[in-house]
Amino acid sequence: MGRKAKFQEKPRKGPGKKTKKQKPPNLLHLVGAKEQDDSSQSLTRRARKHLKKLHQIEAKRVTSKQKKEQNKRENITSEGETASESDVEDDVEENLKGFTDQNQDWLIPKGKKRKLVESDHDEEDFEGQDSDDVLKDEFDEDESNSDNEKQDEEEELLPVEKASKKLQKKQKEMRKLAEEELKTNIAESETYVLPSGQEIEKETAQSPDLAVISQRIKDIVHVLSDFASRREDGRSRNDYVDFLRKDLCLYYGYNDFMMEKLMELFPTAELIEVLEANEVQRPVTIRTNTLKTRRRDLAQALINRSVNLDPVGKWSKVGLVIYDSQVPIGATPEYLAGHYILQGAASLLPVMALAPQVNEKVLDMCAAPGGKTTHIASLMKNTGVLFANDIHQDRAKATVGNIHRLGITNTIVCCHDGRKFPKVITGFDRVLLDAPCSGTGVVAKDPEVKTSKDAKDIQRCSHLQKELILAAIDCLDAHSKSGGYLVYSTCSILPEENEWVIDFALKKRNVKVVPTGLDFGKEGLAKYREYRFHPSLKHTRRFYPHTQNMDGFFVAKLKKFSNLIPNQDKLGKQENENTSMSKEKEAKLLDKPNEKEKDSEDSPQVSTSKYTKSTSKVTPSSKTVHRKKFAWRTKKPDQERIKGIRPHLKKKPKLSKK
Amino acid sequence: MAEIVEKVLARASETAEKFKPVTVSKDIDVEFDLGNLLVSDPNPINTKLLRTEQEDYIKALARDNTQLIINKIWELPTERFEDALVVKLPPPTTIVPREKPLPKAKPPTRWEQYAKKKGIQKRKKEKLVWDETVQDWKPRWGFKRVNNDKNDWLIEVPENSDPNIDYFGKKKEEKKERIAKNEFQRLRNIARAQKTKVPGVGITPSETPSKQQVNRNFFRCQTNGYFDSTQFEANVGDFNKEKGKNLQILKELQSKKPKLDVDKAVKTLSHEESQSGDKKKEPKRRSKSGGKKGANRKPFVGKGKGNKKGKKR
Amino acid sequence: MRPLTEEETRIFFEKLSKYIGENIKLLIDRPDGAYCFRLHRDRIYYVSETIMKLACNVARENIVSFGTCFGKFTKTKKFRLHITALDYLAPYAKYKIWLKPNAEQQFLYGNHVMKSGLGRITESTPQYQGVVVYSMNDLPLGFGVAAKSTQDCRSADPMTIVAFHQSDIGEYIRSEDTLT
Repeated sequence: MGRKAKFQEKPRKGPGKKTKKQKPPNLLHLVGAKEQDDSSQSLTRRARKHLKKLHQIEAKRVTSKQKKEQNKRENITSEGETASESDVEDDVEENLKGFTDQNQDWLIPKGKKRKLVESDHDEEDFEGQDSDDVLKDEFDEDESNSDNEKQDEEEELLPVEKASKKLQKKQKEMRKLAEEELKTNIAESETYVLPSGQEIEKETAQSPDLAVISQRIKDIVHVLSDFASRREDGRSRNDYVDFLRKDLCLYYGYNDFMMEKLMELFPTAELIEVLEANEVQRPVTIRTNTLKTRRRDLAQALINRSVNLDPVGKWSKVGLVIYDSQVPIGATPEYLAGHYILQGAASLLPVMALAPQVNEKVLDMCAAPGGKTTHIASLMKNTGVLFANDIHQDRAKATVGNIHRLGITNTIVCCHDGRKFPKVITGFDRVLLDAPCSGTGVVAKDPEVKTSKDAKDIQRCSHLQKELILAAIDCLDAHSKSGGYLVYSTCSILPEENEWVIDFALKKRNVKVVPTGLDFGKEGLAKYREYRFHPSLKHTRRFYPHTQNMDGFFVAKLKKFSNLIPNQDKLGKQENENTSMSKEKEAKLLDKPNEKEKDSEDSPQVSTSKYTKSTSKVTPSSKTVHRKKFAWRTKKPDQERIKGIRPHLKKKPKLSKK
Repeated sequence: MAEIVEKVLARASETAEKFKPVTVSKDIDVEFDLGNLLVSDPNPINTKLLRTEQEDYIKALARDNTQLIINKIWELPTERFEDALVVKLPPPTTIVPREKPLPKAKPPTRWEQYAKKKGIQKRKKEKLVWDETVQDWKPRWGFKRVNNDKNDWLIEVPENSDPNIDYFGKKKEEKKERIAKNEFQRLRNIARAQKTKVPGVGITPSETPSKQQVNRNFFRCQTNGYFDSTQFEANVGDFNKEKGKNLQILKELQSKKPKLDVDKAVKTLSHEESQSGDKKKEPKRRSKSGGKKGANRKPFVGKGKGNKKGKKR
Repeated sequence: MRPLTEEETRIFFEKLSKYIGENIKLLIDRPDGAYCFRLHRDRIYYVSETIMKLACNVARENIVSFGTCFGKFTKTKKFRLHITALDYLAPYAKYKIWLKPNAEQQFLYGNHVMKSGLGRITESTPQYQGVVVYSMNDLPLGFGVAAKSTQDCRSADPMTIVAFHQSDIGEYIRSEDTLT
């Protein structure tokens, strides 16, 4: 599965092994806050001012009822601004302070001394400072007095360092102020006000400010979570949702279509989690090859190579999660010897659902690059027969490599169009169809999905999947003693490619949905927006990046209970009966050539009549006379002579003996 | 002044002594073939000198003639090409005999033999033929040829014959027969030339084999069926038989094996002999080669027994 | 897909016996079921009979691989063993070489085995004998040809080559495309 991923060596960071343990995906508030911090840190003072002004404008548009409050707020902000302006001057002054009040009289810090020499009038300016600033400084110093140790430390510090510390502190305070202000804005208004058309235009003209957008996303989500009370009058839910979608598209880099699909699928609060989870890479997982080693032994061997790993979870006995590794995990001697294979945690699931037994006949319809195939083979303990099919010849090479590396001997690798596979061979006990899909569940792995897909792509995928699932069902043998099961899986989370396809199969073939045997993940959707699927679809399983920390995945298990194909006439039924060929059919096949022969016997008469007709129709005109020259004039061919020229026809039996 | 002249003269004489003159005079002018960088000297050889001081004489002669050819080359127009003076040599005039023997003449075909016997001469046929119907000259064969059957849109049924025969099909058939006949004759001629048996062409996939099919079969005949697909065993046949065959081959291989080690055995044996022979002469060497002896002997002795320590699954 | 001709079988067995000697017999005559060698696209596959029969259902141009690939015939009708055969060579190998951990990597990159990297060697290995190469913890890494006999190895200096590289499991990554 993960063969193509690159696992370069990463420089070791942080203190210990366990500290770097993968944490559950970040939630919105954490990331959002972080973004905010970063942005405000990087902003210039002017930009900060601008930001504040923006909010002022927003606030201004609040209804007349709140005007008074608004005035008040403006005062506050203007004060804040003056404060921020004076802060910088403070910093200059504070640069020079390196000691306590008591010593101030007789101690002269280095910097100050120099400054004195440089410019006298500077100091005069300092003396004429605002009183409250001075007070504030004194307060600071009092604080430092109270803590002797701290003071000592400070004394050890260089004046420059102290200055920077103070500057940091100031900035922090300012940030806090700004955020509080924002919050108070919201708290006061309670309803978040969407920007007007003008503002949008203005914004689109400028390059987008991510900090603003992220804040707005948060706001809108907040409003949507309790729409009735937090809405703005005269604005419909759709307005909010549209705005949110646009912002999310911009912030996370999706195209409109994809975002719409996701918004249809998830409630707003969950949506943000999904999007955030899609930004984070899934952990590297490997699967132990039970044909060659045991998980414990493998883990030990890898730990000896200073690889940091853990079991993937209770649900799997073969999976291991790699946290970090000093060596490339795809090129260790153990890997080369086939003790494990790189495989996403999610791709263990369909095979577990398939649960192949020993001595069965199993088909993996879309096998490349062979992660699941080898898993099936190792569950079958190298017995029975496993067909690994894939339409792409070049990708089959990876399958072959993996199969040989993992020491699997019961597999036949072939390159067929899956849709035509029932014509090649049928009667399988189990079939795994890991259908090609849009890949909406693996956005983290391939971010191109965010923008490259549209409705047509999804439809195309869906159509192909429907064709494939019918073919897969046709390959199954319902009379199999141990099986007759099909597992359908995709790495997409869209219902169009999952539940819809299964629902289609339920209508077209004699199959039923059975529980997958996986006790985690979410239930499949029996109804989704305007669609009403078969109620048994709740037995299928969906896996999401934000809940299970694995790729988005869908697994469904079907059981075929009859080889008949519903809604077809009797003849069609017979032909499509894909168990051993019925006697009638055989007879039919035998009859056919006989009929043909009869035809061929008759044919000369029919065909020659063509010539006689044509000749009889033509009257002996001048043209035919003229043409006579080209007509049949040569000697009648001597058949015997011709036979003589072609000895090979005569000698045929003799030579074959030779 | 006089001294200077003397000095100059002395130096000139020195150089003259060191280098022979560039000009060479010959009684009869030599002939040049600059294309082959060849000079042929028709002057009679001084047999006396040749006898007394052979080496020097030949050297001098060679040197003179070389000088001549170089002089001749300098007369040619020169070019400068990448800091080097280059001369383009004229085409060679002397005909050099060919390196390889003349190819053997193709053995005559059956018709050529017959024609020779009967004295039939090859007559050149005109390429263009007068076409009565079109009243124009037309090529005898090839594109837009005269009497092209393909152009017939109608064939008159001959009198007193069955009208229910496909005359177009018949015509096509005949053409195929002609081609097949010609192909067969061609192959027969080749076979005779190579003194192989006349290929029977064998089994071809279709009734009227294409040229490629015929050729392939012919090739098969010539390679004794090494590439003959018909000779392979059935894929799903008697497995016990196949197994037996494989085991037989294996047995043969193993029985062969000691043969391969004969030279090695001889080597070790001769080594031992030489050691026992040299025992008294070189006692030191013996001790040294003692280890070697063991090394050489061991694999030979232990052959086929395998290592019992070897791991097995 | 077809059975091997006698000539091909001979060439193949000759090569195989360099590594596993008469143990080929154990491959042909297996107690756990009928196994056979089949040629497909110049490659020899070792496969159980039941699987082979099923593989016959697939058209020649569509079938990529079945069972285990042992190696391939070159255009000049020589046989070349592939690394994929290691699973069968290793357990039956008559002569083995063990590599020190620091020489493992070298070998896996396709280099010959130096004396300095040699951990152990089977007693009485003759020169030019096919050997299977193991790591010190008994992981089969590939196979090669002994450049020196066991006895010569003892006296050789550290930089001399004691085994020529022929194939190693690194090829699963290096030459995946040409493997099968």
